[in-house]
Amino acid sequence: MTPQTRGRFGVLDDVRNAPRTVTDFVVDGARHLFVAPVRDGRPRLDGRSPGTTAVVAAGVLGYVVCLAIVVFGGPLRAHLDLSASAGGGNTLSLPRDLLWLVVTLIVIGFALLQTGALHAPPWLRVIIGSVTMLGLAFVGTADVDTGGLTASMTVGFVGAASILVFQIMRWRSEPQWWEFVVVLGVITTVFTVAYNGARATAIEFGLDSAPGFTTLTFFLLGQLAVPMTIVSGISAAEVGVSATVWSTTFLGRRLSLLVVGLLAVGLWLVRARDAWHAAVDDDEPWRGLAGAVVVAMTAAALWWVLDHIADRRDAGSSRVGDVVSDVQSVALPVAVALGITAVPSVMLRLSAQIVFAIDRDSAWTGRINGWTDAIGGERFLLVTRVLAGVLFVAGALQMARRGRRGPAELLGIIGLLLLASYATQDGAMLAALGGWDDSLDLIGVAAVAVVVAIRIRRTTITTAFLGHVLLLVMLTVLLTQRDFVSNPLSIVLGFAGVGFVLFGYVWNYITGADSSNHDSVGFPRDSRVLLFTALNLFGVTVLAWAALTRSTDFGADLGAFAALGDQIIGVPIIVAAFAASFAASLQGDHG
Amino acid sequence: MDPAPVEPDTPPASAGPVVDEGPGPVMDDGSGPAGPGTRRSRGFVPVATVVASVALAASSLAVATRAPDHPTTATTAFLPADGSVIVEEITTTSGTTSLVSEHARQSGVESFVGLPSVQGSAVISAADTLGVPVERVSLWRVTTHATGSDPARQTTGIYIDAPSGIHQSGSFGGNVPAVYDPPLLVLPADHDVGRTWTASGDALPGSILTYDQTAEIVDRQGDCVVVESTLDRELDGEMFDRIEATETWCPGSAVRSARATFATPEATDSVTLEQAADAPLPLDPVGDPTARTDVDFGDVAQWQLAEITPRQIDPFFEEQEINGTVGEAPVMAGSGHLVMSLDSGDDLVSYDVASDALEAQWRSHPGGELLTLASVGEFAVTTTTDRRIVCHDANGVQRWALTTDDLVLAPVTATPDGLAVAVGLDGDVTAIDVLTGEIRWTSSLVTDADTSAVVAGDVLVATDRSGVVSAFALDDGRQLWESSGNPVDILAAQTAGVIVAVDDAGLVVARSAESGAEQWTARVGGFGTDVAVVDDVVVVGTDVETVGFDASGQRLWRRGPTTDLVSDGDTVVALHDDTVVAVDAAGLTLAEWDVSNAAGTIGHDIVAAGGGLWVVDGTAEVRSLGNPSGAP
Repeated sequence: MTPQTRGRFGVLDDVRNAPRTVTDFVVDGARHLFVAPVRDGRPRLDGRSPGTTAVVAAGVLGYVVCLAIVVFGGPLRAHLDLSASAGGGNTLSLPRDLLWLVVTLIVIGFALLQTGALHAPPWLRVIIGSVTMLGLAFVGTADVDTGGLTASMTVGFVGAASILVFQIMRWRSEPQWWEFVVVLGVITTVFTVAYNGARATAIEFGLDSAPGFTTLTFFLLGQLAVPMTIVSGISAAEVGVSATVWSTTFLGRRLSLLVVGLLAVGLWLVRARDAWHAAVDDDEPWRGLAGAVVVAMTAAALWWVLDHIADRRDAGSSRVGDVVSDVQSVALPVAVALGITAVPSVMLRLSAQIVFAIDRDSAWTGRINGWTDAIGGERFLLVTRVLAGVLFVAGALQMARRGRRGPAELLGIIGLLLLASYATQDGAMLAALGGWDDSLDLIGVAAVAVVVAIRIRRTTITTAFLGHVLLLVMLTVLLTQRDFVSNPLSIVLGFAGVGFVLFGYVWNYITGADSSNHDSVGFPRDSRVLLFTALNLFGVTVLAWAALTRSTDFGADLGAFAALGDQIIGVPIIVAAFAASFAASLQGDHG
Repeated sequence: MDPAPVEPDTPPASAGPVVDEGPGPVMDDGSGPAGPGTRRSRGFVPVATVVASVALAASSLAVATRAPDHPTTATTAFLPADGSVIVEEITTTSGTTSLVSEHARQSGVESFVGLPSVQGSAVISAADTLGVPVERVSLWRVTTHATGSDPARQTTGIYIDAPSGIHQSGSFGGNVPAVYDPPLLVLPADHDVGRTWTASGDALPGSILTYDQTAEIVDRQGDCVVVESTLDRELDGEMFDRIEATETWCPGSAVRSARATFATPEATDSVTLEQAADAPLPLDPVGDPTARTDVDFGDVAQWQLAEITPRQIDPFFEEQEINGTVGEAPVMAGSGHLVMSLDSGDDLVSYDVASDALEAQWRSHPGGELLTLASVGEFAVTTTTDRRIVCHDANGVQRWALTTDDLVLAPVTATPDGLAVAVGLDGDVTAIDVLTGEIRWTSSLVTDADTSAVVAGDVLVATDRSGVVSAFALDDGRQLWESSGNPVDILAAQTAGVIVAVDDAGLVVARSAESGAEQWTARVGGFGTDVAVVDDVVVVGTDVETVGFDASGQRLWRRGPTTDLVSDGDTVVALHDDTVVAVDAAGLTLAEWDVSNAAGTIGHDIVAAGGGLWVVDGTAEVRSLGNPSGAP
């Protein structure tokens, strides 16, 4: 049977219109992919008081300073005096003249976090307040070498108590801009006294304690940036899917059927070759392929089930363009679940330091460190991640029942792929199917061939359909190639390991503030904006520290957490987009 | 913050284009509604308060976190910089010779704990006499090489920069060493013209040699101070020697010039000394930058493990043990000397090796803390926390030091024609002529880097932390090819012009060094630790396994984990924890030794040399395995 085609074949028209097509592609692309997300998702300060605006501006200024440090980290190191100390295989080195700036950024971030928490939901007040109080008590131990209760420790404990009293005093009050000034004053006082005390102690031995203590502070408090970093890790997939959907739609509308067809077929052939080589170029290629088939089939089945459950409430189908907007409602809860150990881990570590400072022989130090190791250990991690995977799938079923089709499908695939990754790792129940993630794109390429084969049998090939095929092929590219921003960024920065995180953070800050722009009695907008700014500032301060020390060994390795976000949430975004587009192609819905 | 009316989870009224909506309603406290006239003025107070509080916080933290000033005294400014080299011309009645002195400036216990035991004890005693806590001792060490018949011979003077002035606690290495008790004041803190002082005491322990000193500040020339002194030393109540000297002390130079009369019962000689500013080193470099030590393990089954105590033989004090902890992995110089870095003092020590002894040949101080150590032929090249690359020749004379933009965290790579190639943390690749210190060429990697380059034929291959592997022509540094992938844990050169890279995902990739063409790939588990070649088998060590691959990348065998691998081409020796194992190309165990330390699990390094290995512990405990001296 000869397939019928419907669409414009005028290649000459394409050539003639090329300048305009390119111009429109760039202008419309920038508008659609950058201006609109920023307009809709940036933190909004309209209607805020000058005081609140100034407080947020302080955080934003700190954010910009951090970005500048990350960008100019290399020249700063080259032109300023480096403080360097070798030891234990790790060399801590940084431009010493900028240490005050980093500590100031930590303090501002800390103050924003605690101020934001004053009027957050009670559970959040308790958690953040506890972290702040433990943090201040810990900072007070900076000069612990002198033994006994030092002035710094006293000030640390008084500072922690002050935060508690202030929280109680402001429990039922409305947010006020001056709360930040009060909190900043308390935190600054504790840090100032502690660093001064540590300096006085270390100077007797000709030592410089400040870089080391700042490193310890980053080790302990840097974990607070984990959830936001996991969210930032999805940015590449988010932008990639948006750009792919928009550009293939654009090309499907503006180019002739022949050109779109050639693009789709050509790209499919290249992808098929690369995916095949990548899949079979392995010690045990069939293991990964078999795993990929099983995972892909299971994901498709789950997606179909969720779609049909959602149909009972409201008949319809998922649109590929909605997948990215559905991410906003899913990403942060998933990130918090994945980083569920971060806050308890911070609190336990801080407690251990404080107990050790008070009594070096206390058995509690060992006990607390044991608990910290336990919740940071692989077994606990495995249990929490598997539990999270199960909860995500269950949550997805619940969402589907409520008719929230898109978020349900996305959450379901996140849960499924999370479970699959742990079920197939070495030593696990389904280890024989391990390595599936390397072959998933090959399954995608094969699925595209299936769609085309089916549509050829149905004898309708349209430009919009070929645009959809192009979209599906591009999505398989995204499954393996999400370095399109981070690699060039690493080259520009001259520092590997932060490009991916930096892009994610910036993109998330300027487009992902939707939830912080909402308002409610229990969680006022001022609180949300401050917390959003604080968490982002914490993250980029860790990045700035890494850029200055040229190492991720002296704080939280945010790159690893961003990669986790990319893998656990980013890949499912692409898979969900693929599934929605695949279903639409089969149904002939190319709208 | 304004108490805006709120509803359950209400989104913002507008998500449209950004519009300047003004600062919003303001109340009496600066956060509520108010007329446009007062809004601006009332808005000023909160904004100014927030700005002021942030500025105040930044200011107070800037003061609290400032770097501590190094403890200084009134005489500290007179001392040369740490790691600096000064050339001096010394004229006697018999002619003019040159001295090359290297200066070490350190403080605390670590500054003297690695010294020969007599001198270390002398510093503790001197510090006690001067009322300086040992943890705050500020030590100045001057190590001098003289041209002449024995340029390898070093003399070292040890001084304490105390609040009362600069005091000499002792010296060693020369024909007449000294241990001054009380320490000899050479420049007082109060150095106004007319200041005089006298002292007497022991010049060697047990009053074997005694001294009497008289001195006076006689002149001031700009920032310089002129000291006239007489030092009489007696042996058993008889004159041993008498030194009448006029020394000019200048900031940053110590004794810039001196005139002296040196008298013994037998003769009197006059001596003048002048520092030669910017003079080239008067000593020719000693050593061949292309020399390599041969390694041939022979029959490893016959190897015996023997404990060896590193020691220093002083012409006067004779044998003294060397204490301290080992820093970077030791290296075998092309001269056949074992070169170690000591954390204590941040010194390099080169040892003459025998199968049953390690005797310190020279000790040098590159300056700062040592980051890496490598040998380029018979030269030792170190990188330091001062952002310097420093080269010492086979006699321990500091030949040159280059300042780099960033630290160099990986040992430099020796090329067959005597270049040292440094890969900086900033990704700069610099090829340096070891004999002259001249930079032959520079290039750069894509991002930051902390892995040593490797040489395969005429190609130098390096990798950065982003996983980009770059190849450069060895003669001029032009880039030949580049490949990208995951960050590389281990980069090694196989004999037949093949580069093997083990990335952080366990992918092993073998490439042609000439073209970069991929020859084979394979996978290993764990974190790559080392690569060695035995026959045609590429042995890849990780922290979970050791795997042998044939020339096509087929896995031949698998063993337990490895931290270090060395090979003589026929046998590969692997270190893991406290066990050293010799394995053949088929992966079969030939012999195995336990190198555990009585002090517990301490990191070991293994260094292949001659017909065996040196096993060096972190505590500088050294054991030989086989015949690593190469001596028959």
